[in-house]
Amino acid sequence: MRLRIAGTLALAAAVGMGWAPPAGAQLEENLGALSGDNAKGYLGPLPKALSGTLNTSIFQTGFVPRSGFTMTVGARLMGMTFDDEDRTYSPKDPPGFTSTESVRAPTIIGPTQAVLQNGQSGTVLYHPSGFDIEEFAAATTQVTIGSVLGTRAVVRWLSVNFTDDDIGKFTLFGIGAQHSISQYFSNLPVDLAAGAFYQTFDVGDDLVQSKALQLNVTASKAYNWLQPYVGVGYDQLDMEAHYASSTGGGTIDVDFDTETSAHFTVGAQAKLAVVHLYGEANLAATNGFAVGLSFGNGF
Amino acid sequence: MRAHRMLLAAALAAIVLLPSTSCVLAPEIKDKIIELALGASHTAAFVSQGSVNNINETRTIDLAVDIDLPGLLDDAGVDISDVKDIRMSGAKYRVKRLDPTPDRRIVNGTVTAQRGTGPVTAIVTNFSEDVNSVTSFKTAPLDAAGVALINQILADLLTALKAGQQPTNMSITYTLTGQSTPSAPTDFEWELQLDVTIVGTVKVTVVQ
Repeated sequence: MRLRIAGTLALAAAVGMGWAPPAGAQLEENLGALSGDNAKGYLGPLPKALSGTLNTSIFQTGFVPRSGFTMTVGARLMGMTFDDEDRTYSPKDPPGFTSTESVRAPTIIGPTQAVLQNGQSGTVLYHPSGFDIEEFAAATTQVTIGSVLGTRAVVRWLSVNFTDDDIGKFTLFGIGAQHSISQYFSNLPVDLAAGAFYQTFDVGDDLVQSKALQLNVTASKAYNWLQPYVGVGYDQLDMEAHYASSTGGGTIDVDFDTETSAHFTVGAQAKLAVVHLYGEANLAATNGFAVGLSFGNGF
Repeated sequence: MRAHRMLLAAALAAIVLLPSTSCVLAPEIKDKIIELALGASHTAAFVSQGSVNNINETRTIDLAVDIDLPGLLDDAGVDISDVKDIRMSGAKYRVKRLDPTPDRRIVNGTVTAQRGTGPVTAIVTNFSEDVNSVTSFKTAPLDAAGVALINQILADLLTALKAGQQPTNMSITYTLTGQSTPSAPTDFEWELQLDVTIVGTVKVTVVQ
């Protein structure tokens, strides 16, 4: 397990150091041929995927000291698996094209073959292929600092700029806090804390912009070096896309419906001296897993 | 005590579940060939001034220059040899500058296309439009013969570029005819946009 985590974190680090996946450049090209409605369908799986990953792996403990200095610095890796039904969507006719048949077109995660749709008087319209992605993972660094009045701050951040490949940049920033509920009760059997976390995740300068919010209550109990925990929360994600149209010029702005869902977490964290290792499973907008490694004092 | 048992069960569940995460949390870097669909457009703008009732305006455009397929493919990172198809996907029109005459309307509108000195072929037939207001793009009613003509030009363009040759006979003359009502000199701008759909393959590297 440790080797697996080390491997994935090394991969995340490699990406962070500029090992660029050039798929992002093609994403903007694929979007350029799509109307706003069809871009919404093409990118349809993203809001759930982003909600299911960004709103994950934030809080791993319900224990927040009332006072004193605690700090952890580490990396998180969150992943989820897409459903087969997310691989295609039903496109709508863009202005100028009148279809004579209905088709299922690939979404961004769909098959790598474009789909041809026949239209009036011998016209055709090609719908771009997807990237054939079955899983989605996001990595970030996260820092926690406490405690004042039983409250700790949580910050996560990752910025990668793929200038050589004309992808633009990926930027993730999150900030929030976790407040001890246990401090108000003398005989709770577990440590209990409430948390709130706000994040922004942008692809390119403004190709895809998303904002996520999680409200959460985490319960945990330390058994020597092992601390299991469960969390219950509410997730929200807003996403919009902006891209240049390749037919007709101008910029197309697409606002996606707000994605909301309940969030349940079950996990365990191991503390070996100053090393923290954790793994968790999440039931949320999408179901996924997360692992992480951090260094610091306190759980 | 119940809470303790629940959390220990949670720890056990996490330990059991996490080994199954090997796919999700062990990203791989894969090269893939995907089919990119690109769009392009080709616009013919008409200025109708001074005609009384019968409108007859022409515009000649070099389709190869107007679409600039090499530039489009270069921007998208697609090699010309990897383009699989290029065809007309539709046409739309709009009024860019309104006619000051109240209730001005164009009826029995037709647009023909002529490749070089070839036959004149109808491409948009039988449309009517109020032109005393600026409009957004509307889908044009197309004629199959005109679509076939444009598709042939596009195919010739692709063939020439794949062969490394300069495309020839790419000039198209569009003619707008129709009648205007009420009877008075016209003064409006109108444009027809032909949309083109292109599909080609490109290699991408995906982290998943």
